[in-house]
Amino acid sequence: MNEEFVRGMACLGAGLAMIAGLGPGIGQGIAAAKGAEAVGRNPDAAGKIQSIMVLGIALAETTGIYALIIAILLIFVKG
Amino acid sequence: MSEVTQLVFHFGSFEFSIHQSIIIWLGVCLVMGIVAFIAGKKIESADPSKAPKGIVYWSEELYNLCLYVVKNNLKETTEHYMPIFGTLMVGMLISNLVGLIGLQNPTSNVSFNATLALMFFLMIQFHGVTKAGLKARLKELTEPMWLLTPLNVIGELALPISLTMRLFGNILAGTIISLLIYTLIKSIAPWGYLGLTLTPFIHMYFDIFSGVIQTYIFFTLGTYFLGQQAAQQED
Repeated sequence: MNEEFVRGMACLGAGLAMIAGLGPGIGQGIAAAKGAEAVGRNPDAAGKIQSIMVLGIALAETTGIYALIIAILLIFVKG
Repeated sequence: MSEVTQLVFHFGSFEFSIHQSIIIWLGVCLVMGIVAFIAGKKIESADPSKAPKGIVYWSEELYNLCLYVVKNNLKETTEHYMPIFGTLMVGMLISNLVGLIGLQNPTSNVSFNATLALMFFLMIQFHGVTKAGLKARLKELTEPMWLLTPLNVIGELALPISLTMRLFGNILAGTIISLLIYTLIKSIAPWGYLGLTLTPFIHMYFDIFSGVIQTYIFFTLGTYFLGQQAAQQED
């Protein structure tokens, strides 16, 4: 197993790891949609809804960030 | 960014190196300390019956901003914790925004984030133990049934890791993506220079928006879990 093969596979793995971006994308989309819905139903609470929505979106982002860190590690440590 | 600069000290055979981002963090601390010292002198001599001006006004606004983030979570212990969390919050905010002037973010170094997250973890565990004793704390981990103990332990340990990784990943991703765009602009010059019209928006998103939001998230989550252990008051 030569070094080029390991490097290529590491970069391929980094690309595959970023498929995890699907999950947070869908989750954040749902959160934003529900936030818009909630503001439409109760415009007075817009400020509160916005802060909760941003917090929720940032929490949903965590899994995507994990995948990103795995990808970065694969590229910079093995690639 | 490819050439990572660092200070290296030699003590006999032992080598001790300080990374560039940590040096920037120490510089941020120094600047913050001087500004806070001047502001403190000004506040002491300020007339409380008049409307605040200049640096006094800015300090008050900054205090209110920090209060807004931690107040709902820490409840009656807010006054007690405000000095440390206010300082760290302003420090982290500056660290996230320092990328705008072309320096490396201290928060893109994992050791900086891990230190802060570990501080939160130790504080939470300390309060969990001192609140009702070690026995009650251990019993809390076996709730709702003893089979779930490993899951509860993992849940406790996940907090510092997720706090660290969320901040680190966001800031590092911003740094790398803006670096990639600058490399692309350089490699397809002279047409690439048109891309410089795009870069302010990249910095707006990755440095300002992402940096401020991540600071907010970090301290909201940290103080939420701390407040669960430290604050007694129920709402």
